[in-house]
Parts: sequence; C-alpha cells; structure tokens
Amino acid sequence: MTTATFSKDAWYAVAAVDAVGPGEVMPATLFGTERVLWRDADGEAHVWDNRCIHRGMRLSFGFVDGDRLCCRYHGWAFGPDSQCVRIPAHPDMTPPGDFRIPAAPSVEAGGLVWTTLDDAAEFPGVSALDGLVFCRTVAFAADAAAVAAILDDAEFALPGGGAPDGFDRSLEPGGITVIRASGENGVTLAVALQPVGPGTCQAHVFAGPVSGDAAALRRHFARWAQRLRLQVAAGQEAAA
Amino acid sequence: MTITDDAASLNEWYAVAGMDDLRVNGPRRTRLLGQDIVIEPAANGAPCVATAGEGAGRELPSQVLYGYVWASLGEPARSPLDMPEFAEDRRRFVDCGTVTVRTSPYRVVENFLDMAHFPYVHTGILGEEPLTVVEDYTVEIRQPEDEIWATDCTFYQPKAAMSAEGGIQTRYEYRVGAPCVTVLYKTCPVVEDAWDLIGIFVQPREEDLCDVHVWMLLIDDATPLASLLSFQHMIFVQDRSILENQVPAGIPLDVGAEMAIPGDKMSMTYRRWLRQKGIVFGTSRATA
Repeated sequence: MTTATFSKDAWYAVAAVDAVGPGEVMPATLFGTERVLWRDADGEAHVWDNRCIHRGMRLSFGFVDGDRLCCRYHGWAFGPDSQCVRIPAHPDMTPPGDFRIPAAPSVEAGGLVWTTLDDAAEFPGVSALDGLVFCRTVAFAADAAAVAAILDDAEFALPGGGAPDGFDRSLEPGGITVIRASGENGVTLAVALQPVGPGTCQAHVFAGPVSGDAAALRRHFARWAQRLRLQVAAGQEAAA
Repeated sequence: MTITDDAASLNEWYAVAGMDDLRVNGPRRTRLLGQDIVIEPAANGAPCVATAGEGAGRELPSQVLYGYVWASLGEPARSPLDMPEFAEDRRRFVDCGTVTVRTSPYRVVENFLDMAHFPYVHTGILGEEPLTVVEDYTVEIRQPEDEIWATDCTFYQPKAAMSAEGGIQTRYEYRVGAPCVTVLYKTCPVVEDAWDLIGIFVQPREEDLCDVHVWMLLIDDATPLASLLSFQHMIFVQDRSILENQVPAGIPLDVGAEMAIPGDKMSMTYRRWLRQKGIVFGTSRATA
C-alpha cells in the first residue's frame, strides 16, 4: 500500500458532525487556510472564510442567532447564504450585495463535515465509513503525511482483547486510511486525516462494525487514538 | 524581525516607558520598530536616556512628557501633541500600565477610535443591545497640527466609568495626535460640562507586536486607584481578545480591502491619513 498524499485541491474532513451542534461555531483549518464551521438553528452546516469582511475579525469567535452567524466585534449578521443582512451600527441600512463572506463547499457525509479549498473539486463520497461509528478526533503536532506514514504500520488490539492474525490496509478517497483486522469477526478502523497546516493535523477516528456495545467500541479506539498521539509526539521528539 | 526603512514611522515620537515603571523597575530594555532600545534614568541631569543598538549604542532624541519617556529613531519634525489638561490641578493622572498586544499598532488605535463595538465587546459596560446605533458625528483633519479630530460623538453606556451611577448618554471627542498617539475626551460622570481624558500611547515593537501604554486624566478624587485600574484592565482585556484575532495583523490601508460603513468614517479617515503619510511598518503592505 502506498502512503496517503495530501493535495490542496482534495476534500478533507474538518469535524465530526456532532462536534458542531445547532447554534455552535468552530474554526476549521486546511493547509493553513482558516475557515469557520457553524451550524444554524435549522441544523444546516456552513463553511466560510474565517474572517469578517469588515475589520478582519475571526468569525470563529462569533455567535449564532437563528439562521445567522454574527461577528463578535460589531455584531454584523450574515445569513445562511453568507450575505450580510444586518449591521447593528446602522440597523436601517440594507447591506450592499458585496457585503458577503466567501463561502467554501461543504458536505456532511459518513458522520463528518467535509470541505475543500478548491471550489471546483467534486466531492468523492466516503463509503469507507459506512457502518462505522465515530470514536474521537485527535490533534497531532505533525504533518498529515507523517501521521499517514505511521498509520501504514499501525496495528490495534481487538476490543474484546487479543491481537488479530493480521491487517489489511487501504487508502480511500478523502484522506481516509482503512485498517481491517483479518478474521471472521474482523474489526475495521478508519482514520480521516485533516491537514491543518505545517506540522499540525487532526485525525477523525472511526471503527466498526457495531455488533454489541458501541460505547465500549468507541472507548477502545479513542484510547488507541490517544496512544497514537503519544507515539507521534515521541517520534517527533526523537527526530528533533 | 524587520528593521524598517519606513521614514514616516522612524521620524515619529513614541512613548517607550512609563516614568512610574522606570522609577520602580529601573532601565527598560525594549524594542521600537523592530530595533533594540534601552531607556534609563540619566546621571547627567537629563531625566532619561534612550539608546538604540548593542553596547553603548546610539543616543536617541528623547524627552519626558505626560508621564512617559518619548523617543524617536529618526528626526521628528514636530513635538508630540499638546494637552493643556495635564497642567490642570483638579485632574488626577492614572498610569494604567502597559499591555502587550500581538497585532499592528494601527489596529489598536483604530479599535480605540471605534464606538460600534461597545455593545458586543464591552457588553453591559460601554454598550448594550439594542442600543447599537452609531449616530452621525463630525470628523476632520485639523491644520496646522495635522491631527484627526472626531466631535459630536455620542453613545449610550450602561456603565461608562467606575464613577458612573447607572446608564448615561456619553459624549465623546476623539483625537489622533500621531499615528500611534490617541486620546479621547469623554463626558465626566462627576462634574458637569467637563471631560475626562483617556489615552493610549502605542509603542510599535514589531510589525505585529506592540506595547500599549494606557493612561487616564480624570476629575475624580473619590474612586480608589485599584478600582480605576481594574475597570480599565477589564476593558482592555476585552479589546485584546478582538485585536489578537483580526487577520491579517497588518492593517490594510487600501480602500476596499475591508468593507466600511458611514459610522466608520473615523477609521477610514485614519487609514487614509496613514496612507498619505506613507506609513508601511505594521500595515498589510509591509507583509504582502
């Protein structure tokens, strides 16, 4: 298997769908380009430039008012189409049509929110996550490519204990590494990597199938992700 | 770490140390426009000496004014702004300390000149929804001083100052005496028809890092110093959470780089004035 590569024009996961609930706002960064991810009261997720067009304030510090994202600095409110709809300093003014936050493409699929820096890139689909549950998002102080290289050799114990006979690995669209334990009760682990910027990335970790105790499965692979984090940190330290 | 050749910036006066701070802590080693400088009380009768560079260094033009040591890396063509209120006996000077902020000095000044953020950044203190309207005001560049003045500014404030009892319609005048020097005149809650002065002298250390020297000149004998300081610190910490999250840190001076509304005319005048002076250090042009 070849190691995953991370091109700037591809789609990547930026958060688990539950990480940003209705009315919540968070930063979502790809290759150092800052985006804001927020979900309106109707449940729709939006990914925009993380910068107010007025005075450059990061919108990830903003607040949601119904179907609007409001800037923390002056309360400018932007509707779901990212057009400015209200300027509190001049409430009677209709904001001009070019008072608009550049919006990025976004898709919710497989339990994750996805976006891309390339407006023309087509969403590849993420069937690799079908039947799996989200376990955890882990941040790494390492390039996505460095973590991907570690995933090439990564192994895991079965949730009930014991090691599988072996592992099958594949690379799937969306920067997802899938590792399947061999055997009839084989467990599948899938990791969607988010290249946040130089020397930093996030891994969104999924596992399945959910045959019994989903919470135990989540816990098992959340701990696995935590250990991987320590392993990467130790590797970085050794290299330094 | 940029050492600038921006003459417009080099030839300005900057407050680089509080006299209170110098008395208590001794010589201050700091930075100005990307260069090392040292400010120390002088033995030769002068109140202080500022030097740039390593070792003995180069002695800089310096002076003590309004409770601060001022220095320049170039040849300033004019004196710092004139504030006759400093000579009034009834007034109390409050050195509110120095706050380090990771952004351009001009973002700091621009925020200081801005009323529209009061209800959102200083909620329940300097402003409160739904009273968010910025009423029209007058802004002009006064000559020959070459200062920006904004007058007839008003804003409803739930708690305009430590000495304020309940909300008042606060009147303001804003003044920019130099690119990094600004002061506001604000309704004194205690004495009718008098202004309190609140000012910031911004010391640009790097393109995107500054020390903000904050002071007040009040007609208020009653409020304990600790209360005055904690009030001002609370306000400034709220401002800093905004200032360090504006991107880019360098202020854009090109018209249209950031959207503006009529209430921003003070900010737009300030940006145009900086552009006409040819200021580069701390602007988006410097890093572009």
